Amino acid sequence: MKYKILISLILMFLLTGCWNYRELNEIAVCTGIAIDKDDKNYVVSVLIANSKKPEVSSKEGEAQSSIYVGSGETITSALEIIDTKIPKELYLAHLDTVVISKDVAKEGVYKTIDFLLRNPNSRRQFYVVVSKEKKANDILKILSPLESFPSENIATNIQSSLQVESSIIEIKYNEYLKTLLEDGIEPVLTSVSVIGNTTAGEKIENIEESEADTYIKLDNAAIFRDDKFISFASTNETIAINMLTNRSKYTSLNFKCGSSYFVIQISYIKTKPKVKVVDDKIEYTFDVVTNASVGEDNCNMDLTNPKVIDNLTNQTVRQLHTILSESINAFKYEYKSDVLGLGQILYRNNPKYFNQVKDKWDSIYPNVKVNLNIKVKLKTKGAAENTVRGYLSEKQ
Amino acid sequence: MKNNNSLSNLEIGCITFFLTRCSYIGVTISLLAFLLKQDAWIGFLMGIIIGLIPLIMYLYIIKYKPDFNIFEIIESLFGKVIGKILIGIILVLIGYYTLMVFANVCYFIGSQFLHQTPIIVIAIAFMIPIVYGLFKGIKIIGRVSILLFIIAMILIFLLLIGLIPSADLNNIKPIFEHGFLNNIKDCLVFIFYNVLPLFVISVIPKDKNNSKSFNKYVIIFYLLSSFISLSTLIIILTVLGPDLAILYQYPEFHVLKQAQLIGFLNRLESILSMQWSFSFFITISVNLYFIVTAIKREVKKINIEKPIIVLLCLLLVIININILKNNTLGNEILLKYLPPFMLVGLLIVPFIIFIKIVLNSYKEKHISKS
Repeated sequence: MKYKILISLILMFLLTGCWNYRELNEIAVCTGIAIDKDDKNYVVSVLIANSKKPEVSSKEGEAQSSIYVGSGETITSALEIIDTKIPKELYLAHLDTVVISKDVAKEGVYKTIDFLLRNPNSRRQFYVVVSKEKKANDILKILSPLESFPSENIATNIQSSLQVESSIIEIKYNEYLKTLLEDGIEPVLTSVSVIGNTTAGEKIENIEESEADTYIKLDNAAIFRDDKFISFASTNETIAINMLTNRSKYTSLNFKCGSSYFVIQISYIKTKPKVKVVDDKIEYTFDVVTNASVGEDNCNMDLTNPKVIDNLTNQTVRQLHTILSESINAFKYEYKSDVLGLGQILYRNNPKYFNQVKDKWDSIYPNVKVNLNIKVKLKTKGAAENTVRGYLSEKQ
Repeated sequence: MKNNNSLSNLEIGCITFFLTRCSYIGVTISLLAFLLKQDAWIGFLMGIIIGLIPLIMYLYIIKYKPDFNIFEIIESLFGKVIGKILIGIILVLIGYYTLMVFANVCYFIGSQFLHQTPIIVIAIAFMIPIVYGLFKGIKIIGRVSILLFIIAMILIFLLLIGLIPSADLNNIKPIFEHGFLNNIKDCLVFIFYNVLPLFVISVIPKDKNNSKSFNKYVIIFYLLSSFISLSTLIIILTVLGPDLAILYQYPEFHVLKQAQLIGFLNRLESILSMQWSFSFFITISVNLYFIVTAIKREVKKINIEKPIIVLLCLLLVIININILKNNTLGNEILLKYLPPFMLVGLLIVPFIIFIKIVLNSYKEKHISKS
């Protein structure tokens, strides 16, 4: 009996994780990391979420975010410098966002984030974004009235924006790595910029105004080739990436009519790619099926007339065709980056042929033919049957 | 250890379930993904089907003399001298395999959960319940395996429903890129690491009253375990993709970080991965029981069960700490050197036993007819 009690006691101490037990107030919960580079060293900024600043808190003991900066030859050494500045141990399991500067992205992203691949605390479920500003550090400093921490602001902004429109890319670290490792596809990342004065955005006064002077804005896709940043895409190109790779289901298109516009909102996008190889000529067909509705009609069109609806549908198809085909040409000839994964589509359908050409895919890719087969089903007109002006003119 | 009490078919079935699942963590899945990439699940499926052959061979050997354990069967077939040599080969192999399993669990826990904890603490913490279980006897291990089976099934169910929404079937295309023959060749990975270790059930005392359904239980639980492991492999490939599955150490753990239940429950990887520690616990316990039973047979008069158990466990801990110093070395030994040993000890030797039993049965029939 005695040895059973002894064993139970030993097990109680050994099996409860007491060996590297840490209290919450001993760890600095890091929710955002920004990576810049000066001449030789990486400059790493970490956003600590559980710092206490009683002098600026509205409630006593309310946590605020703090940024610490460290510089080193590697990310690990930069973080070690930061560790010497803070009295707590950095804890990366709650990382929301990693912001990298354009300069770092141009050198290659995986070098800077290999540390996060290996760190056992890191859950690899964070977003990686490219800063359009000179310093990625500036992004993490901008306070937001709607979210507690700038990193959380970026992460929730990405998630919520994609529910409404397609002009931003949602890519987490795991998915970025996956596109980097696979043949026949190049990665893309979200970009982020600061609107307003960066210095003013760091101050608490920025969020005390009813309209913040400085805020973070998500921007178009950052296009990469072989892990190196090439360029920022345009809005239409970003929409094309989302539509053709089935990343997003929502977008809206504006059509001009005189001095006004009408808006078609697309609420469902399904793209099926097909590929065939005939005499060494590769031809793709993207079957794009969308459901759409009238979002705004300021052109006083008679929405009760089926011919008008057909006309709107045709215009939507033409507009989508223009956006997608121009974007595809830009990816092929301007950026020379296979962000749509055409090589991967070929690999999945014809692995034998792809394995023969994959070493020279970069030269073959611009010469592939891409056809678009777009179907738009304009299903609803929203809550209103006709426009207000149309109804009033009918009444008269 | 108390005198052998026979285990029910359900208990042996649950033990079979865990024995089959043990090596799929950190070994089978990673190796198959490396060899066959997106076709890894096809190789795994082929391994399940082809793996029935050695399993049926083991069951035939066990059924030869139901009242005997495997050591008694071997000595009755080959005589004492050759019998002891064959038993020695099997014991060395089982000991080697147990060491590798133990090293695997220590590396897994040490690298993914408790990375600041010394490996010796993890090793001792894991060994204490194994020693205690062995002190209590195989019957207790059998009962524990039923409880752990129920918990494991709940966790596996949660794992699958938490990950299925993230699956993308495009990640397992193109199918059969590596060809049928390569899939057959590489499915041996599954057989070596997940089927051949089932030989240890030959030492477990069986319930004589329900001996007819013994085979049925073993095969059903083997298939259940294998198909659950297969579905997990498919989930890994469809969620992470084959390239990430190769890149990550323990991709089966990393994919759990993406599991989400009821839309908001996440960070469940620590809970959902508990079921693997059950497999390790049962496998090491049963393997050590196998070795201890063999040694006990040789030293009949002195009661040395408990000292042998403690000695073997200490040996496992010491070798793990001092010789297998890092998991690169451990992986090399596990993946390069273990399969030939497994082939000899757990396939060729049982095959020789099987042939001897078949010949003996044929002779007995021939004699009875004449």
